[in-house]
Amino acid sequence: MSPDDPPVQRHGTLPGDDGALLSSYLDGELDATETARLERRLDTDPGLARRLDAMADTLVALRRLDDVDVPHGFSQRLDERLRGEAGGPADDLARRRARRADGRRRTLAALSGIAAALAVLAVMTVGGFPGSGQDTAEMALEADAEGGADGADSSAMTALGEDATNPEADGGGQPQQEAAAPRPEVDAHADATEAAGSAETPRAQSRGESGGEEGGGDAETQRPAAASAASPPSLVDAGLVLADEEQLRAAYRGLPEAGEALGMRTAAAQERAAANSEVIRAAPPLPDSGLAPGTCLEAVTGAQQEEPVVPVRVEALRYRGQQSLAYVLVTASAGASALDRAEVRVVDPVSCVTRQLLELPPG
Amino acid sequence: MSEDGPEPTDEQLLAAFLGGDQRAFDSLVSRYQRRVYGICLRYFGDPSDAEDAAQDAFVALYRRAGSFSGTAAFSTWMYRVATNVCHDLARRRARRPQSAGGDADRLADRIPGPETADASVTAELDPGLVAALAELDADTRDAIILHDVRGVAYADIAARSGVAVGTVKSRIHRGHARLAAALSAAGDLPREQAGREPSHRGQRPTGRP
Repeated sequence: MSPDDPPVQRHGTLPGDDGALLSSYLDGELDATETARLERRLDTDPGLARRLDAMADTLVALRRLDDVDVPHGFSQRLDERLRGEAGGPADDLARRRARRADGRRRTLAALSGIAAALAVLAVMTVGGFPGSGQDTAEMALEADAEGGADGADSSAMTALGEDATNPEADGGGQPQQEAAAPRPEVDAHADATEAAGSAETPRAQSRGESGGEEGGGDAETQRPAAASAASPPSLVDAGLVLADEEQLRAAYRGLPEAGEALGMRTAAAQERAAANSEVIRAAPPLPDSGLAPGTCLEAVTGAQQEEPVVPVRVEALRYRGQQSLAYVLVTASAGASALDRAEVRVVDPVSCVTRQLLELPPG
Repeated sequence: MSEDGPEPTDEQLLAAFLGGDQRAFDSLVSRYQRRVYGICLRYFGDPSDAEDAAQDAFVALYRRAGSFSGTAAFSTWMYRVATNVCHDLARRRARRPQSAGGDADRLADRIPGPETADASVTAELDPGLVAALAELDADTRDAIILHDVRGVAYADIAARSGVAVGTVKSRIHRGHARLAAALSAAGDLPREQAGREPSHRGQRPTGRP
């Protein structure tokens, strides 16, 4: 179980040897790829999941973990630590709802203002009926004042990718004030990504429905501009909500951060990997989700891997309805002299279990 | 949660906590604190580090209970959370985890010879587990007892046995698989022995945010 031990021999990965594989998994000895592969199987194989539970129970009994007495005052010290955590998930949910409602109000106000301005512009453009134009603008303003935004509400919700069935889908409606709050260590373009990321969902969905191949450029074009050569990894908390693998692929296709790292020689990549990892580890929790970018860094980069793995972006998002962290990693194939592969790995932010692993096409 | 009636399952407690019931969280802590602390103590071999890690694990549970997917049992998920927290804390502190028992010299003195390993521990283990251990070949059994029961590091077992570390790991992981299979076949799962409600797979917490 010590990380100083060399990796377990790959006997555990042989077909038919799932028991050893599960044992290695529970003790955190599988690398990221093996972990992702196993977790995909666990998601679809209840029998294997039952064996995992039996394995965990066996290890607990064998190691007599339940026989250990916790230090005196353990619960009190835990209570003290949790005192600053408000009320747990329920309070967190209420906070998010309040923030989202605030964001909606601001969004609707902005949309109403735009609608009013467009109405005035339209009247002026056709060049007539000043009285009617006045009326139109007033009507728009009245609609704004009356909060006549039920329709606007629903279209704003659609445009922002809000999932009405998912009470925690933030949908990118965070208030401007919050977006402008200091975010030390967080890449400044996170806010720009917020709108783009939120708007990607409905487009990705329509692509999925039509089965069209093109259109992935939407996600690309709305991503922030490419980072400079010396740029740090992007740390993003923009309320991105993605429903499935297709949307994930569309959202992360053509990321500038990945494009910038691809082709880097492995020696330089080692340095970049170390530098980026250091930034990610040192970063404070992301402002909206509260997730620390470094939480699963080691799990996804694979501590024992020889090839450099450059983390170029860490993003908090909801994937398949679950709060998640996405790590965009650029690495080299075995024996390659330069970085030639990019992938996005979506993980459970607590257990670091991989929920989705996608190889990203170059370019 | 109700004071009467059957003891709630882990998953029911989790759902109640997600619905805002703080007492449900306290119940989960009470139920799992020995196990989580035990995992961490076994990882670090140092009570102070172990407590820090165990507290981190429960803070993680408090913050992210909603991410439990229900694929495996809550107890399994918590095992993984604790293990990951230990790895993370060790990395942040750049501290090498030790085998339970302290420094290597004292540890070496405490390692029983393979021929004595069985006798030294069988009295401490559940009879069903001892019976399953008895079915293993001697090398595997000794490796498991030294590592899992005595907390001896893989490398120390390898050095003592004169085999590669990978061989030791392979023996141990395969041995775990055979033990789990034997205990499952015998209906002798430790969860049931401990009087804990079996997990209700597929019953995802309903209060999930």
